[in-house]
Order: sequence, then structure tokens, then C-alpha cells
Amino acid sequence: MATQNELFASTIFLKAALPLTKVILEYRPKMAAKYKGLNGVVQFVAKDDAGDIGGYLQFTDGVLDVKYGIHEKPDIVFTFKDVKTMNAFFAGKPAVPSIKGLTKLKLLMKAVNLLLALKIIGRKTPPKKPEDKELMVRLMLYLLPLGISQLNKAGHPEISKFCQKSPDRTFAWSVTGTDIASYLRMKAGNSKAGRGKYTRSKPFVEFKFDSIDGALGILLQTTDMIEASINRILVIEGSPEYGKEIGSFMNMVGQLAS
Amino acid sequence: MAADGLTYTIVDTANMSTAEIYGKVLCDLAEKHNDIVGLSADLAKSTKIGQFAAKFPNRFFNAGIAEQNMFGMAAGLAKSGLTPFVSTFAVFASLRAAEQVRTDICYPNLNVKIIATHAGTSFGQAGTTHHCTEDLAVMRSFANMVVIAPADGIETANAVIAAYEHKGPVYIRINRGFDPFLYEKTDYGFQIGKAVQLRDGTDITIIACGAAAYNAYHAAGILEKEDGLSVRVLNMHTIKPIDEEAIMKAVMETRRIVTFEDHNIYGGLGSAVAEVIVKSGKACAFESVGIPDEFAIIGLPEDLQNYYGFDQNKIIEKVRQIMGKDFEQTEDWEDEV
Amino acid sequence: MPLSNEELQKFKEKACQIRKDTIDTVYWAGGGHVGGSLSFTEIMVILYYKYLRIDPKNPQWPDRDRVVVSKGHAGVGYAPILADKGYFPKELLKEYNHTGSILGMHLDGNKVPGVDASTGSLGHGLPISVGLALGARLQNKSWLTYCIMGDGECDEGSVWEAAMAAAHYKVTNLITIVDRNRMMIDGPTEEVMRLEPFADKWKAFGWIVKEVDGHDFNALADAIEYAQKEDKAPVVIIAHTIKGKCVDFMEDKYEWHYGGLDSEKVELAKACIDKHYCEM
Repeated sequence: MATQNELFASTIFLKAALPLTKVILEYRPKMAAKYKGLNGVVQFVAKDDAGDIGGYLQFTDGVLDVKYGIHEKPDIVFTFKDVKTMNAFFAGKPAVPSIKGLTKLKLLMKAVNLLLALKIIGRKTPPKKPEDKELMVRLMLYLLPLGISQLNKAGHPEISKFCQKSPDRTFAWSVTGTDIASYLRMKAGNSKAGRGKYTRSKPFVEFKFDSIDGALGILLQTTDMIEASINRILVIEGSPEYGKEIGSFMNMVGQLAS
Repeated sequence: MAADGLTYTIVDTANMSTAEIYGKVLCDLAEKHNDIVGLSADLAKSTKIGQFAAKFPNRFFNAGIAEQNMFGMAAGLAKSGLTPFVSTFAVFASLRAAEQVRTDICYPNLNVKIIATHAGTSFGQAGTTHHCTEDLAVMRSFANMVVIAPADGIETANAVIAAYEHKGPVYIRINRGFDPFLYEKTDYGFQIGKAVQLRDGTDITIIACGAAAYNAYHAAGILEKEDGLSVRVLNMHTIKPIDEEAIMKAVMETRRIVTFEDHNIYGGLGSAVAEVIVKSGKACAFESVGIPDEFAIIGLPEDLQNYYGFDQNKIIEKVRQIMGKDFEQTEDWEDEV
Repeated sequence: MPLSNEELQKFKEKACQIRKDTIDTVYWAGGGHVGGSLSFTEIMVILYYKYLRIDPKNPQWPDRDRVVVSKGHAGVGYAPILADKGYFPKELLKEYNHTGSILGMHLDGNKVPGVDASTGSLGHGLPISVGLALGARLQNKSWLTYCIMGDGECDEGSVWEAAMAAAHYKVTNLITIVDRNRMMIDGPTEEVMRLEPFADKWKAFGWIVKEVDGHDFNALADAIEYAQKEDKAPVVIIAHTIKGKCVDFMEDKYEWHYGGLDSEKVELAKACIDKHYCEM
């Protein structure tokens, strides 16, 4: 039986990270062109006594949708012997699934390509090309609120306790000079992650990165936080105590996903 | 409330409260005017006067943890022809050394400028000994004292300059330096005794000062967008002398006034506004929101703002309540994937 | 430097006159803090008639020496000196405490020429004096600040805060004199709130202490001149005095901290004062 932590990690991978493959196709038009007209369902499932855990990529005429759960008739199935192994696979660690549907080679290759592209968020060093850097930051900033929100919905003890007590508040992330922005809204136990700038009101805490490189430094933890604050690489507007709290949730997401 | 990966010392916090820019403004003023001197009671780092101390060490006097002497010294320095800026926590400036402020500084109408930090419940975690929800009431009652509660770091900078140019004692009460910016630039026309109309409106007027002003401004935006309400927002940064004209205009043109402040409901902004309204004899719906004559609980300041009803959400609720409307909610809690 | 016989004689006569003026003022005022006003007469006389660089015609002269009578309740002893020096007409003493008068129980710096600080609440004078002295030093001025305190006043914590600061900032352009008459309202100082070892306290705070007989002009002169020159640490002159000095029925009696005098008592008091001066 999978442990609490393993389940939380799988939540991050299946409900927060995997859906980011859609973002990759959105921002990589050349790559997306190769998926034109593609059809099929690629299922990832981990066996567990308490009930199998899984998620799938669904291509309909080249348009990708990512869903949680088990599809009735997937074309390809990656089966993992337990949740731990599936988590390791998504974390880029050695883990071998058994694969059904190997004959659907084209679909398989396309799915694997997407997963390989997704590995960018697990990098320990920044990519070289500017467009890769931008994609990495975008994916990470979308992953963070999504991961925290999903952990709340999954009942992560610290995060859901925090959310339970929260009056209607929004936490936001952005990179100055780009359109990269995301937010997390919380209210009395409910949470919602979103992309782009939150316009309904001024966010309660906003993490503003001064640039893509600045963001990479902070997110990869190669830049010291205090230094970052003094040099305004990262400016946290709003309550510093809540900034720290959300910062620790960001770390949790990062740790579970590694 | 553990936070991984964030180690810091008190010296670092001095660099992190970037919203408090008056320290630099004071230094710029001091470059031009040799009569400016600074004092603090072992709180130079927690208040931005530390910047002044670093730049002009021979013009800065740390009085140690001895506030009464500090204000006495400030009086003496002012009598000798200088212009002292004194900074410590509001609770100590207005209460510990109240008599010195009143007798040594207000009574002879000396040019001492007091920058009282960590006012209201802004130092929430520290508990009642470090809160100050009485200072507006106390300082208001001292003749000759001008009392200002700036809404953000930019307004504080303006207040510091205006205080220097004003002849006589001035009390400026601010928070810890983490307040969000209400203003974008300094040239919006700050004048002692003149409220700033942040938004015009006709349904109701919110009069607020300090952190509540920022919250009120944004609350009004939402009220307009969601409820179609026309809410006037006045940033009443100067509690004394209060802008009677602006209050009376609000009475006549909106007929509903609600005040918000990080202060006891007795004796602060709400009381000051009420005095003007009642004196005029004109009919007006009026409510004042603040700490309800109790000692504030311990908590993070943002939570206390919510608890005591002057954060954005509660302001919205209160206005809706006054306008007789129900609280609406947007209930889509699906994550965007 | 010892005073010449001529100077000494002049001061003694002046002290005799001021004491009598004090008694008169107490009468006109309907009551006053007479005990403490009689104990510091020599101190005030030698300051105002020998050492202070002041100009009664120009009370706001920027380079004047500053005087902070921290024991502000001794107004009935302070006002006669200011009047005698010419800061205001002597007739005004007759209106002391009357409605609308500039003179009241505690001399008001906003109203009375020559008063550099509105004292009355004890414990304020030394901090203000420290501020004045620091201000002078910062602006490279050579005027001095003189602070005259009571001993009971030294119960106040703010006095010791100022003492600490004065030592810390080496405020040596400040001369502090404590009128140690050993009496306060509720009784002798040592019974109400013990001050001894008083000199040791000041030394512990980093001050240089000069103990003198507060009624001995030569001793006071020596101490003041020492204090003016000393630049290593601030100097406090503990002047041992007698409350109600020269008026027999008041001497050393804490009850006469404050009191009223009828015309009979006024005559008696003045006679005592004269007697003491004839003896001297």
C-alpha cells in the first residue's frame, strides 16, 4: 500500500506536472505541428491494493487533453508495480514500467517525446537556449500553484490546514517583462490555481522575479534568498510571514516532485 | 510557522523592509539641511532611521533603551536650534514618554518630529506590550501636535518632508515597513491637513488611514466592479488637523460614512470624524471600525486586520452591510490546467 | 580661584536680598515652595552674578549660557533673581500666581523671559540639558548649559537615563548642580526613598563628583570653575544645603517644602535672614 507521501507525490506528478505537457505543446508550435492529427490514449497506472492510481494523455486530432484516472480503453498503458515506482519514473529516476500497446509505435514515440520534454522542470541547472529557459520558468511557475492547490485538495495536512484558515486571499507569481504569471486563490479550505495575472484584486502576496535568469537562480536555489531580496532579483510584495509560508509550500512541491 | 531555507538575522530584516523609503528621503533632506539630527532608543535598525545613523553618525544619537530621556534630549536639541527626528515604536513614543512629548515638546511648541513605528497592530506577533492602539487618541489630545498616519512608504516619505517644513511638533505613525504601496509616485499632492481622495463616489464614503487606506482603496474597486457601487475613498492621512471640508463634502454628497483604522474605536480617526459630523448637525449614517476597545489578540498583522474588520474582505462586507446588500461569492474552485 | 573679599561681600548681600525677596514673593503668591527656594539661593546667586554669560536685555541671545532649573517648583526663589537681573520688572512679583500673570508656581518658558525650559514636572531638566549641550557641541558653540536639580528629583528614572547618556556622549559642556537639602514632601529623602550612597551613584554612572557646602560661595566657585574646565567626563556638583536656610522656623524642616506666610511670619522670616547675614 502506498504511503501518504507517495500518494501526495503522485498527485503532484499526475495532477500538476503531467498536465503541463499541454503547455509545452502550446509554446512549442514546431513540436506541436508534429502531433497534428494524432489520436489515441496513453495511460500511466500504478498498482495499489487500495485502488490503482493513474492518469492519461488523450490525443484527439492532435489536441492534447490530460486527465486523472483510468481510461476504459487506452491504446498504450505504462503499468508500474506500485506508486513508488511510478513516482520514480516521473522524477526521471530509474524505473521500468511494463508497457502494453508497443505496436502503436507512433503514438508511443510521441508520448515519450512529450515526457522527455517535461523533464525540463526537473533540471538542476539552467538550460542554455533562451527559449528553453523561458519554457522552464513558465512550467515551474505554473507547477507551483497547481501543485499546492492539488495538495490542498488531496488533504495534505499542513497545506490544507493553512487553506482552511485562510480568508479569501490570492498569492501570485510573475516574471517582470514577460507574460509569465500564475496565481493561487484560497478561501476557507477551497483553492484554485490559475495562469496569468489575477485581476480580480491585488494579490495578498506576490512573488515578482525581475527576469527569467533571476527566476531560474531562485527556483534552482543557486541564488541566496537574502541576496536576492537586497538586489531585488525577487521582490516579495505583501506580508513577509505569508511569503515565507507559501515559500515553504513551494519547497514541498519541489521536494515531492524530485 | 516553519519556513525552510530562510535564515536571517535582525540586520537582514533591515534590508528586507524595502517598503519603508523614508529613510533615504530623510538622508536626502539631511544633506541639504544641517539642522537635522536623529535619535532612536536602541531601535535604529527596526526603524529606518538607521539609514540616517549610518550616513550621519555624528548627527545621530542613540539614547539606548531610555525613551523619556530621548525625548527630553530631543527637546534640548530642538531648543539649541536643531531639528530632531526621533524614532521608536509607537507604544513607547506615545505612552512611555507621553509626558515628555507633551510637556517638553508640545508645550514649548518645539520642532521635534516623531516617527513612531510598529503602530496599531502591525507588530501583531509581538503581543499587546508592543501594539499601540491608543496613540492617535493620546497625540490628538496634545495641543500643538500635528498627527499624521501615512498610508504607505511613499506617503511616509512625503510626510517626513512636510514635517520638516512645518513649524512645531509632528507625530507620524507608521508600520513595520512591509506595507504594500498605495501610491506609485510621490507627486500626488501631499499636504498636511488635506485628505487625499483616492476614488470619487456617491453611494458611500470610506474614510481610512494607514494600512486601512490601502485596503479600502482596493475594496472600493471590487465593490464597483461586482456590486456596481460608487464608493468614495478618502485617505485621511492627517488626523489632526483633520480635513473638515472633505468630511463635510462627504456628508453632503454621499450621506454615508464609514471609517476604518488600526486603532481603538475610542479617540482615533473614527472619533475625530464623528466630532466633525456631529458638530455640523447634518444627518449622516455613520459607523467606525477599529479595535473594539479591547487589547488586540496576538496574530500576524494581516490576520488581525481581518479579525478586526479592516482588511479588504471585511471592508467589502461592511460596506455591503451598510448598503443593505448580501455577500456574493464566485464559486468556481476548479484548478486551471 | 578664591573669591576676593569684595566679591564675597557682594554675593552675601545679594543672597540676603534675594532671600528676602523670596519671602515677599511667597507672601504675594499666597504660598510657595519656600524651603527649596531658600536652600539654593547661594547656588543661584553665584551663577547669575558671576558665571552666567547672559544678557537680560536680550533673553533670546543665541550664544547665551542656558539655565535649566530642573527643580522648577522653586519658582518663588528663581523669579526674584530674574527680576533683579532685569529680565522683567520687579513689580510683576506682586502678581505672582494671579490670574493672567506671567508668573506662576512653576516658571513658564513660553512666558517668562530668561527661562530656558518650562520645568515643574521633575526629572525632565537633565535630559533637556543633555540635549541642549549636545546641540551646542554639534553646532560648535561655546555656550554652556547649567542644570540645577533637586535631590528628591533624583528618584526619577529619567534623571539616570540622562546621566547615562551624558557620560556615554561625554557631555562636558554641561554643569549639573544638585541642591542636596535632604528633604522632600513626605519627609527626609533618606526615609522616603533612600538616595545614599548618592555620590557613588553618580560616579558609577561615569560622572565626576564634587561635593561642597552649598552655602559656601568659595566652595561653589571652585566647583563651578572646575566643572567648566573638566573635559574628561560630565561633572555633578552635589551642594549640601539646608532646606529653608536662614529662616529659623523653616530650617531643615520638610514641612516647609511648601507653605504660606502671613505678614507676621514674613517679618519674622526677614528678621531671621538679616540676623544670619549680620552674623556671617
